[in-house]
Amino acid sequence: MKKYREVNISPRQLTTLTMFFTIGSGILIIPSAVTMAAKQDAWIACLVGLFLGVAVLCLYNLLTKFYPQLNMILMMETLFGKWLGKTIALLVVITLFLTGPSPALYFTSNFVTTQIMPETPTQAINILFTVVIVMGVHLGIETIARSSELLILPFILLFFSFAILILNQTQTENILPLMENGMKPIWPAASGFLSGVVLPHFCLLIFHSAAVNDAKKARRALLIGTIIGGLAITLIVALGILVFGPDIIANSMYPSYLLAQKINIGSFLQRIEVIMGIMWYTTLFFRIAIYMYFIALGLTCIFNLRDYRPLVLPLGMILVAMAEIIYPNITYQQKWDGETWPAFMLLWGFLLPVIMLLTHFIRKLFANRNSNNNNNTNNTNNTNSNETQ
Amino acid sequence: MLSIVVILVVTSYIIWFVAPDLFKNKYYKELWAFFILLSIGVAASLTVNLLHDVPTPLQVITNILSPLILLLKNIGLV
Repeated sequence: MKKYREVNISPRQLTTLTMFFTIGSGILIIPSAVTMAAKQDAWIACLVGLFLGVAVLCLYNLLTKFYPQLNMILMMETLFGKWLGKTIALLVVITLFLTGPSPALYFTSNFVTTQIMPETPTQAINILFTVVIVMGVHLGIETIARSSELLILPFILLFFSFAILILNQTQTENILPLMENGMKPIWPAASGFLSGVVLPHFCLLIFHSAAVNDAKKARRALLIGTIIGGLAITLIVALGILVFGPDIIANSMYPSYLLAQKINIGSFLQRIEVIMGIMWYTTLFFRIAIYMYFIALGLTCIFNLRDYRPLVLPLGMILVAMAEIIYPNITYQQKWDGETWPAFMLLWGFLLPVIMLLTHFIRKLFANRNSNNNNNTNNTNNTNSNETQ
Repeated sequence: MLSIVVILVVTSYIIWFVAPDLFKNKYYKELWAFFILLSIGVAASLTVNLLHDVPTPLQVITNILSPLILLLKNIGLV
């Protein structure tokens, strides 16, 4: 059944990979989106979203528990049958290509052209970044996992030094009053966090548990990685509100970059915001690489190919083209991220796994009934068919 | 003009990089998939670079999902 290349990564590598994937583009777009909806309570909304997200991840883990050796595409094929499964899988892959890696690449170039190098054409940055991603995906998920294990230490170091250096600028009155409008504005913010940060994790099911020797540790790694990543984003949101107040964060394009610009220790240690940029590039690289791996391997499984690697380079070419046209302007991007993306992710990240689980239980029910019937007939007939079976 | 040259150079480099191995191993199915994806890539790159105001494919997804978006809006989740 396993037609894709055998891979083997350790549970710790899966944890770091999940962490980077979680922080990924979320750290760019989530703070302003969440703050726009929930104002000063955005950090509560993040925690609510993370809590709901962990519940959804338990659902994914249940799915991988029933089919430990299959990836998501093959799972769909086994559950829904050959043609329906392949059609749904193809739909997932195509729509995910348009909505996952292409916007993430767009964020990269858009950030550089607005903040650091305003006169560089976006395509130049897109091409440079895509070359690195294509190289990583071509080398395989093991290489990406090992590099994530290597890069996690500098990332954590930078992240915490950044969080500690900004602490002297915080003002507690910015997050008050707490829960001013009750729970009502929290829900849209929490769903935004959930769909932007946690629900795309169904992409990880393409290698999760099948690539790790110990399936139990793999399931735990998924949970731990997501919780750490989600808490990191919550920390950024909380710090942003504490330093600037909700209004500035909601209206700014890149709140975490703004936050890093604010760091000033004794008029000596200042303007270290590009370090924030480095952190983003690291996480966005893993985000896009895992998306691309999912898409390449998904196509391989759908069309029964022997190797996913020939597909990676053409996919990278389409990616560069798509990143150029995917968002006509910023307003469209904000409307898409606020309205369509949660609906889209609810469909693929939540409803699809739920339907898969239900199909599994229904199939199991029928299989049990059939086998019971067979046993009964066998017992009543008392033939030697039992011995031959 | 420059963009067309760059696209063609990149395309030929990709073919040179990937195709010979597939031919040698007689992976004809993979070869088909590769060339179909590559032609999509070339077409997309040429469209993006030569035409202005190419409509975004996301609009199709938005239109298909609009009932679900409306539902979420009414529940208060969006």
